[in-house]
Amino acid sequence: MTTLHHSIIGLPRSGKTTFLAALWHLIDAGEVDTKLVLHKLNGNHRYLNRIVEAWRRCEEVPRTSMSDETTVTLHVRAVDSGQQLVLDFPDLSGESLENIFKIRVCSQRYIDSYKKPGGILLFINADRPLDGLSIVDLLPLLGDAADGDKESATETTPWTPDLVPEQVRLVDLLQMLQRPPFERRSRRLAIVISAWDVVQPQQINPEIWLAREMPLLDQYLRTNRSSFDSRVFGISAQGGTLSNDTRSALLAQAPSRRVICTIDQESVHDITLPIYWLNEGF
Amino acid sequence: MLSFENTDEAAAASLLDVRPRVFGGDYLDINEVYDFLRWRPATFIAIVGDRDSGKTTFISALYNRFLKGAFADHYFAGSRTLLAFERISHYSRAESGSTKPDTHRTSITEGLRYFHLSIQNKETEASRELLIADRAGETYRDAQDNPAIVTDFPEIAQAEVILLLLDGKRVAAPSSRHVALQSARQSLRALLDGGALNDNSRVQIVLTKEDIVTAAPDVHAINDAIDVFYEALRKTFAGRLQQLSLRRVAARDPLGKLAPAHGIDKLLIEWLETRPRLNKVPLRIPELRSEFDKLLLRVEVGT
Repeated sequence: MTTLHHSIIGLPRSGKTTFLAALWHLIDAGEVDTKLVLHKLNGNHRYLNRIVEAWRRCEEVPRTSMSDETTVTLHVRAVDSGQQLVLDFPDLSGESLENIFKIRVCSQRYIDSYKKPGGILLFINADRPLDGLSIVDLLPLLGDAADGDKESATETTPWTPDLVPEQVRLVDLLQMLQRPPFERRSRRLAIVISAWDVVQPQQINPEIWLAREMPLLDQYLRTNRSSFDSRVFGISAQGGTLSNDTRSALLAQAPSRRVICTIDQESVHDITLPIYWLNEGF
Repeated sequence: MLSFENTDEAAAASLLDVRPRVFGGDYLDINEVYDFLRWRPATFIAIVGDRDSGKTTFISALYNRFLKGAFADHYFAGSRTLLAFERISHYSRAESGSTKPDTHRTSITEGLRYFHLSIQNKETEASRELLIADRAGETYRDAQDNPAIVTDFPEIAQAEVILLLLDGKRVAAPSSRHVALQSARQSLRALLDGGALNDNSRVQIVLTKEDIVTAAPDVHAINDAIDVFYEALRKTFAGRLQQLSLRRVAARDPLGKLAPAHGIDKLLIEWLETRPRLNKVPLRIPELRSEFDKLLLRVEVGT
């Protein structure tokens, strides 16, 4: 039996916990075909059961905080080959990554988790505010305030790391993983664009969405294939925005059928696909 | 290493400093540049210009242009100084709260530091490493008065390409036009006579803030003055340099009429025409006064 250790990374509110909740439901419920199914219950799944309960009610899944920081372990089986796998997701909360970004130190445990065989699931929330805009980009909206001859009367905010645009932070993170104290090696990187339901009406390929929304990250991935073999998946773990109007429609379906996973132009319900693809690299 | 002033993070960092440090992402100092060159060859760029000539804005504009996509037929392939680029870009961003784009001015106390950019040709997939030296503009001003002090600026002697910035705002204004043009001429003479430039040097005279020039009511007179200046420059100095060119840029047009990083693509393409140089440690190591001296031992790749 193979044990693979996939790292889940992404900024806070990038959809990691909701994905896990939906995954936990799908691999056991048997409502839709999935490449991976639950093989056996083993270990303490109290955290997973807590988050899946909220998910089944079409409620916001409680965010993982650093105090929850726990290693989630799933014993699964690949349906096609029968191969048994232990999937280990060592680090869930975006807060520890926040600290790594700002303070530039991390725990030895975190570094060691990347030495084990496995890939990376990188989460990006499609339902995100625009960031990194230049003042010039905003000129059509600023009106008279944009007169270049006038001195700006507004107070400016000093720079802090919080203000770094998301795509720059993600490139910074990926670069960091290829520099000491991390071991430089080639890894599979499954990029999960979460809240994909907000993008779906555009009928766009997730790879194209990434190139459009995060050009710097897209360029970095194109030019660093020896470090990261990447693929982009559009995933909606909730199936839609959770409002009073939409909840009843979402609750009316079998929970697994709310879930969307889009690769290229094709959409299915099977959100084990990114993990199945990571596993294929071993 | 990135540093913060009076923050909770700084206090936490001091308590946590037994933990492994991760890659910093801030400016490279001279020692880090030397280490970098052991790993792969790089093309050095030095930018000389008076205070407010637009040096740091230029660097920021080049970086920010890659945030929007490929540029000058090249993809962004990485940077060891991502966070340093982000710092200098802050006052041009909406998040700064300003309505007028600005750039943080390099303080004279910040010394010599480098930005790093790794790019890859879209077609050939050839990679290049760019190291851009950054030093407060006012320190270069003194070299005009005393060429001997150019030895204090080893980043110019080590650079493959040297940009000499002409402040377009000063050139556009009749009262400061000829002071600005002749100041640039004197800078070039001082760098040549002081020994920082020679017949291996490629110099780009870069007129910044072109948006201001093209919007000026006497734009034709300005362009004529620039042409006369450049011709005179070529006549006197072109024979002493490997290459001398004139380029016009608008790193960041506050009114948005010219595209971001306007004209910088042509500069970048010229930079890439040079051959990057490797660090070479001689078998018998002579007495080297400083890390700067070691950098001057670099040789061209492929020779």
